[in-house]
Amino acid sequence: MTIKRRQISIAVVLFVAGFAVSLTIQSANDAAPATRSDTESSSLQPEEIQDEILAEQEANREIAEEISAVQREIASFEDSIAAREEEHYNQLEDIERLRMITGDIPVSGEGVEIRLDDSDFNEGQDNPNEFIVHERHIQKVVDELYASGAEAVAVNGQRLANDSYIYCVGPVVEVDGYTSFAPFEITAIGDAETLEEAVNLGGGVRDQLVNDNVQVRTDQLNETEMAGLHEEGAAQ
Amino acid sequence: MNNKSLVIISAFTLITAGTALLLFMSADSEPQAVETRDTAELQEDLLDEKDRRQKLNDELAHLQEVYNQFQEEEDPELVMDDVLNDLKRAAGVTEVSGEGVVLTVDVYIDEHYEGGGIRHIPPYLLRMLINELNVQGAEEIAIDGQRVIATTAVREANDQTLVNGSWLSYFPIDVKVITEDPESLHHAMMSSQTRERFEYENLQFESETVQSLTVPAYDGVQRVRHMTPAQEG
Repeated sequence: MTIKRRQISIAVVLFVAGFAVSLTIQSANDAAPATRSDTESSSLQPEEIQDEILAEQEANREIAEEISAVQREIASFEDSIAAREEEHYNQLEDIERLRMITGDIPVSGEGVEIRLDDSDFNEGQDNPNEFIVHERHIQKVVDELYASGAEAVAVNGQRLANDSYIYCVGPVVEVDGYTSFAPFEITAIGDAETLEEAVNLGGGVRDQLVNDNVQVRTDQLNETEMAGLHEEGAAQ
Repeated sequence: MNNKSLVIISAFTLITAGTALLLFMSADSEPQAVETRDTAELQEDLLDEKDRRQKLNDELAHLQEVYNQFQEEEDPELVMDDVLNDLKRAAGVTEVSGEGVVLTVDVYIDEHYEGGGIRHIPPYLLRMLINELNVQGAEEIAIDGQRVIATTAVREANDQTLVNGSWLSYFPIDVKVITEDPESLHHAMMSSQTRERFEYENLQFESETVQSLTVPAYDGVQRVRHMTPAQEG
């Protein structure tokens, strides 16, 4: 009886000891090379990814420049055709107008800038999430600007098109894959006074945003320039 | 004697086990979680950049083709017609047909519902839907017959939702979407967070892929009074 009991205890102890040893070895084995390869691969791997991103961005900038160059060549073809034949002058005007509307080319004009900021979050308040700018806040401003006659709108310099999307994650906003950071600046081209008034109207967008703890600043701009869709926004 | 050694062995074992566990946990838990998240975020950024490269290359190829046509075509006026037509399509002033998805938005009320009548899609929700559709690769969208263009405003007045300044009709509301890959857009929408958000607001949408559908042209006027082409330096 006692022998059996002792054997069992020893067996259990040995088992636990074995488990512990294997665990230690494993974690030592894992932890040492793994932390090393982790610090290597995770300080190196992210670096590698970072490098790749930079290379990709560089390549994209070059393609964007090429696009602008070809656009200019095409425009000069069109100019010469319009100059040669009177009837094409109107057609050329239409083309240029539509290129501004679609965002194919950079545009400039008077307008407004609406700046949205997270409100100051004090420790002890309920939920930090209630104090940051969300995409619905940006969208609300954008919709109000369009409703008030904005001809072109950009978020942090990135021109909006018919198939644009806006994503907010904390202080980061992504517009059509272009990432930028808070504060969020929404620029619009149109009648500066009308646009500013529309946003500041009592009970309007500004009040609603302030209610949501978003800081809103509006400024009229005599002249603002917006990059074309294929270009990276200016406010990077 | 035996008991003593047993106690010693047990104590030793317990300490070892404890240390091992501690080592194991501290080595594995937090730092790795943080780092994998960073890596995942970076990888997503990289994918974004590659996506953009694809789009830019498509755009460049298209423009180079136009350029070549201008050079080779004996009748460059024809090329100008093409350019104009492409732009009209991009601006949303022509109707467009193609394969795609039709979403039908309707009221969704379960037996526990105690609120009042549901009369419209809140603008923020409709914007969320458009946003999600664009993330999923929508090319053209029409909501209740209103084409979504760059300057489309979605807003609320008198508890009704307006798109392009027109009131939306009562439910069910059709959202027509033209896209290259209807199947993937359909699945993405049916499992989207947007769909859950709709349910919070007692709304739901069904989605259906279609071989061919037509979105109407934008019927308003797109004015250009305050902007001019910016000279590139």
